[in-house]
Parts: sequence; C-alpha cells; structure tokens
Amino acid sequence: MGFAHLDRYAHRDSWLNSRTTPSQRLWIAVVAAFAAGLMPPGAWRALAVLAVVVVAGVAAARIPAGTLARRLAHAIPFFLLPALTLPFSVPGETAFEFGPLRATGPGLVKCAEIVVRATLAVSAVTIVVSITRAADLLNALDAVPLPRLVKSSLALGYRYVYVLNDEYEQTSRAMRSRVGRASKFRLWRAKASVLANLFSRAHHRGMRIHAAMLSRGYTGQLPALRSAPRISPAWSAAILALLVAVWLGGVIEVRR
Amino acid sequence: MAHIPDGFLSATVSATTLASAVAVTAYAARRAGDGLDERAGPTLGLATAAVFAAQTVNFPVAAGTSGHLLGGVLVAVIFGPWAGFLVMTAVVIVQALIFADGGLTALGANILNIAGLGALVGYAIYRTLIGLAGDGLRRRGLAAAAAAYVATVLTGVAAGIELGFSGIAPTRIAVGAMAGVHAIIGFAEGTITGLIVWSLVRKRPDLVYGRRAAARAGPSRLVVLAGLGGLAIVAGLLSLVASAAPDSLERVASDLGFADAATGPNAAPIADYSAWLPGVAGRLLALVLGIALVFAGVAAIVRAAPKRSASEG
Repeated sequence: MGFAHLDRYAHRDSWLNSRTTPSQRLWIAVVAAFAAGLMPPGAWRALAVLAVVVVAGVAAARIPAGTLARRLAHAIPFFLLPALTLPFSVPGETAFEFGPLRATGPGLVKCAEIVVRATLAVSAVTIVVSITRAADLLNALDAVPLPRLVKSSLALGYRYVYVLNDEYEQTSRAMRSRVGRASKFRLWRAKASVLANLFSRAHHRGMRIHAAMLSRGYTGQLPALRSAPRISPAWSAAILALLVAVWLGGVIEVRR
Repeated sequence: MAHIPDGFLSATVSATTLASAVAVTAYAARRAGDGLDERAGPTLGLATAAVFAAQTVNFPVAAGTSGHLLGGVLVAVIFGPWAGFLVMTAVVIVQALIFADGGLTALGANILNIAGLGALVGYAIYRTLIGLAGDGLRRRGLAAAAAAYVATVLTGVAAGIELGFSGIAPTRIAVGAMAGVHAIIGFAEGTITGLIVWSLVRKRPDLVYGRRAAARAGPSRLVVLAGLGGLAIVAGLLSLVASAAPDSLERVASDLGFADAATGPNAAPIADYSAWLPGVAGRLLALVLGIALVFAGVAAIVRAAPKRSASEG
C-alpha cells in the first residue's frame, strides 16, 4: 500500500495551486472551515455567498466534481446522521408528524443550517487538501505553534503508517491461516493479539529508528526535504480577506 | 459520532475548547518526557502510525456492522498518559485535516474529548482500578477494558455538553443521546482494548507503562481523584438510568414531543421539577447507592480475576 491515492490531485496545475504555497493553503482551509462552521444562525445570504466562493474554489482547484463528490460522500454521514435528529429534538411548533415523531419548524431550520455549514466547511477543506501533497501539508504544519512532539508524531506517523499497515497485513494473514473459521470471540481475541503485536513491534521500531536518527545527528527537529515554493502571499491574502469578509457579512446580517 | 463535525459548535464553545486544548497540549508536551526516553519523537511517531493502522482493522459486531479501536486508553497504557495524549492529539488533527472526520472548528473539543478523556482520564481510571483491586496480569486487561468503557462514555457526555452549550439541542437531551450512543460504542472499545492489553501483558509485560519504575510508586492523589471522578460520573449516569428508567423515558418522550403538544415544551420541565422536589432525598440516596454498587461491582470483577504474577519481565 502506498500514499499515491492521497496525492492524486496534488501534481496538477491549477489556478489555486500556482498562486498559493502549501502553508498558505493550510491557512485558507482553516479560515474557510471557521467561516463556514461558525457562521451565525440565520445568516442565510452570507451562507449563499460562501457557497458561491466554495464552488468557485472547485473550479479554481480543477478537481473533477465526481471525485469531490466521492470524497464528500465519505464525510457527509458524520454530520448528516446527527443533524437529522434535530427536527425531532428541538422544541417548537409542529411542522409535520412522522409516525410517532413530531418534527418542529425551528428544528428543521436548525438541521438545514447545520447541514449547509458542515457541507461548506468539509468541501473547502477537502478541496484545499486534495490539491496539496500530504508531505507538504505536514511541512506547512511546522509554522503552526504546536508542540514539537506533536509535529514529529505527525510527520513520522505519516512516514510509517503504511509500513505498519503492511506489517499488520502480514501478521493478519498468518493469523487467519492458523485460526481458520473461528467463533466471533476467538476471532476478536486473535485480531486483538495481532494488534498487540503491531503495537509491540511499533514500539521497537520506534526505538531502533530513534537510535539510528541520533547517530545521524537528530536533535528533535525534522528537516524538510523540499523547500516551499516562493510565491507572493498577495493572492492568499486576498482569498483570506474574502472569507473573513463573508463571515463578517454574516455577523452583520444577523445583527440587523 | 465521537468526532464533532464543523457547523455544530458555537463560536464561544469552539474558542473555549480550543484554548483549553492548546493549554493541555502544551502542558502534556512538557510532561510527556517523564515516562519516556529523552526526545522520544520517533517512538511517539510510530505510536501514531500504529493507532492509524489499528483503526483500519474492523471487528465484526452483528448484522453487518463492525467496530474499530479508538485507542486512547490503549496508547496511554503503553506509552504513558501524557505521551498518549500527544499521540491521540496528532491522530485527531490528521483525521480533521485529511479525512474530514471531525471539524476544524471543533478541533479543540475533539482533542479534549478524545485525547483528554481517552488518554488522560482513561489512564487515571486504569491506575485507580489497579490501585483498588491489586495488580496482576489479567487484572490489567480487565482494568484497561473498564477504563476504556468508562472513558468512551465520558467522551460522549463531554460531546453532549459541548453540543448543548452550543445551543444545538437542550443540554439534557444532547448529553442523554451522546452518552447513550457511546454507552454502546464503549462495549466494543472496552473489549478490544482489554483483549489487546491482556495479550500484550502476557507477551511483553515490560511494554505496559505501569511496569516502569517511574510509575511503580503507585498513582498520585491527582490521578486517583481524576479516576474516581470519571468513574463516579458514569456510575451516576448508569444508576440514574436504572433508578428512574420509566420516569426518564417519559421525560425524553415529552422532550421529543410525543407528549401533549399543547402544554408546550417549555412548560413541561418546570412542572416536572416541582413534582421532583419531594423525591429529591430518595433520588439522591438512589444515586449514591447506585454509584457505590457500580464501584463495588467493577472492583469485584477486576479483583475476582485470578492474580497471576506480574513480576517476571
């Protein structure tokens, strides 16, 4: 197994890709997610404007709509299912009855609002992440004030996740050939035992890698292998300003 | 829904949780070195990778559904609570950024719920249980299983509180729904965690964090307090459900709108509270008894496991 599927659209030339660096794109993703996710309730016009911005972003990033839809389909159930309980749990006047359940008007509005906010936030992050190599994204995280241990965990986690995944596949295949058709409990026990092995091997590999890195002069800082391209921050600043303006527009819309 | 998506939290809750998560992460980064070698970056990186690999492994439950490991208590038991917290923080960040699982505005809340309650409080519960029941190979597996179950329910409770404070739904309903869902998820998490720790403790007892010299002195008072507090919250919830099952069902029904709509959802709770007052002492007694029973039960189960020596390495 490899990383290729994560980076499928990262090598294409697109309007967005040629005008922003990975770390600028990381900030665009964060600000877009906050603008969408924290849009005040009732700011429908601002949400509509934000939707236009996100659709323009799909075009600017040159991601095929089908691919985006497939990636979104993976994320949508995470917010759609909890949101669908809201029409029935938020108090208010009855809008319609569904069997024994009573959906309320305010509940339906709240549900729609959350679904729109979440869809826009997830779309924005998915667009930006899809056109950025995972390794570049991790390098971009270097500028974020996170503890060094978290950063190195992220970088080495990315480096070794597929190595460990392959190792799990090997031990798991060996386990299956020994266990055969097992009862559910025995299967759980066998799988847990394989996972215990995985963690024990990961622990050892970590210590070996640590020793090897120390002998190569590791001081706790992971060097970036590729330097970020030099691109003027003007375009990124403009996009960020646009996103903040749309959010402020939403706040003003609600205040009035 | 262990991970809160974007769009659910209000700006206030998002900012508050993010600020607390940053503070806890900074403190954890200072403490993580305590139980590990200096500059343990590579070990934690591999732990992060292992959690990701382990989360892709499906455990078939029933009717085509399956569960997978979340891993908070497990990494805390293997790598120590602070290191485990950092590993789970890295996992939550990647899930939000690359897999769209959990929102960026909810990142602080998700770090607190999954890494904080999973690794830190989960570990405190694990140590407390071992302190109560005595150490042993099987007891470690059982204690880890119980801790993983309780920590998972707490994750649900915390998510419910955050959603309630964000004005998504009345806090009571949000907490009830999230705790209910996690009370089921917790069975899978507890079983998987317990089986892995049990297996690990037989193969490589030296890898289980409690074995190391730094931690052998016994849990500190803070750890015991956190562990007992976490246990008490979940035990209290369980005993409330058990002691007032018909009553609370009725309340959920009225909140959901089954009950007479004419009284209005705002009038109902007040009427309920006035009906409550005479029974408060009884309820309190039931709660205390329930908590005591749950504690006794968990400690008895962990203690009943035959004590196999944990001393050989």
